[in-house]
Amino acid sequence: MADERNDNEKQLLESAIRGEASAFGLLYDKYQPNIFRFIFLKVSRREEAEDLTHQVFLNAWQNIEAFEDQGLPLSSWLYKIARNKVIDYYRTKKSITSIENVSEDYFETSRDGGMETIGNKIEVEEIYRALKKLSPEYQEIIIMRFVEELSPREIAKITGKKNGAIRVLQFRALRRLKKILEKNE
Amino acid sequence: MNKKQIINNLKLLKEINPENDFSRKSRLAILQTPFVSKKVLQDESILSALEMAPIKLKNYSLKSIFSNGGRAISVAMATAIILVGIYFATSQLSPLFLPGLNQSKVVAEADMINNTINIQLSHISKFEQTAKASTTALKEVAATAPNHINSSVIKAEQSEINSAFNTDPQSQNNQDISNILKTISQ
Repeated sequence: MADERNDNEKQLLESAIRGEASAFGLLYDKYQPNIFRFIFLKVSRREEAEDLTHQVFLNAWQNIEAFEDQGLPLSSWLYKIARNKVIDYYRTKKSITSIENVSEDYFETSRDGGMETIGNKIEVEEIYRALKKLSPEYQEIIIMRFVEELSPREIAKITGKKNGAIRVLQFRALRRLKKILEKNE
Repeated sequence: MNKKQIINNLKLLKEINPENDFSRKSRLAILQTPFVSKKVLQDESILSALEMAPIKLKNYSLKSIFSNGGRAISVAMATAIILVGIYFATSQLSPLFLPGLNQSKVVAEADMINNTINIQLSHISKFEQTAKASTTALKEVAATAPNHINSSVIKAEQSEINSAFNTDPQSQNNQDISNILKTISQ
């Protein structure tokens, strides 16, 4: 099943590299929610997250020929672009958004699905606030590993770090997050 | 809260999704962006072909021209240059060179127009000659005609002239002249 998905994605990617917009459109549909979520969790503002997400895919479409298939899914390349966009965003913005500035509606999910119980919403807010208190490096590893569920190998490719370093970072980040949550209880 | 609970709570963040309206618009805008293959632009055979063109584009660094930032600008400039060229070409071209035009018919029509103009010009010149002749005749008449036409006025002038002639020692000549004037007044 996973092989079929990979083959399907490979065919779509080859078509997109040849310039077929419809093929890239299907890839967009598949990865856009993930990239948006990744960016949103880092910048905390929906408008900025939308804008940066748009830039990521526009960049990807215009440079699709530059993608080198190294046995990793297209998502890794997209996350790499997204990561760089967020870094550039922070460089230009400079101001840090305080968690108090994040309004309640940022925790609302899309209209099609989402949080149904109040309890879940509270837990989401709690974990999100704790996440924002982590350092950018820990934040990133937590988001990629446990929210986006990327493998340590993929994260290593995206961040340019070694596999072992990723595992160490993951362990330390979780431990720090746990301390923050316990402190807030 | 143990590690497992934390990870489960982190997975709840997967519920964060973009708005459908944004996704639809963004997708449309991106896919409408023209795809320009960089591999074609970087092809040595194409670059060498461009080198033979009068304008050496390579000097301007094709890669930089067609970079992400300059692509839209270069396409817009090329389009503008092509449109300006078409405009000047069509405005300078003689109508005779337009496709679908019967040259012999156009020439015949032009000849007809020329002939009509020539006829009219000849009429104008004849009119001018006639006008000149009339003007000349009128001038002559005006020059030779007496100052007055009225006979009573001429008689009065005659008596004035006679009295002027009688005081003159050369009265015989003057008498002859007065006789001539008498004849005219009659």
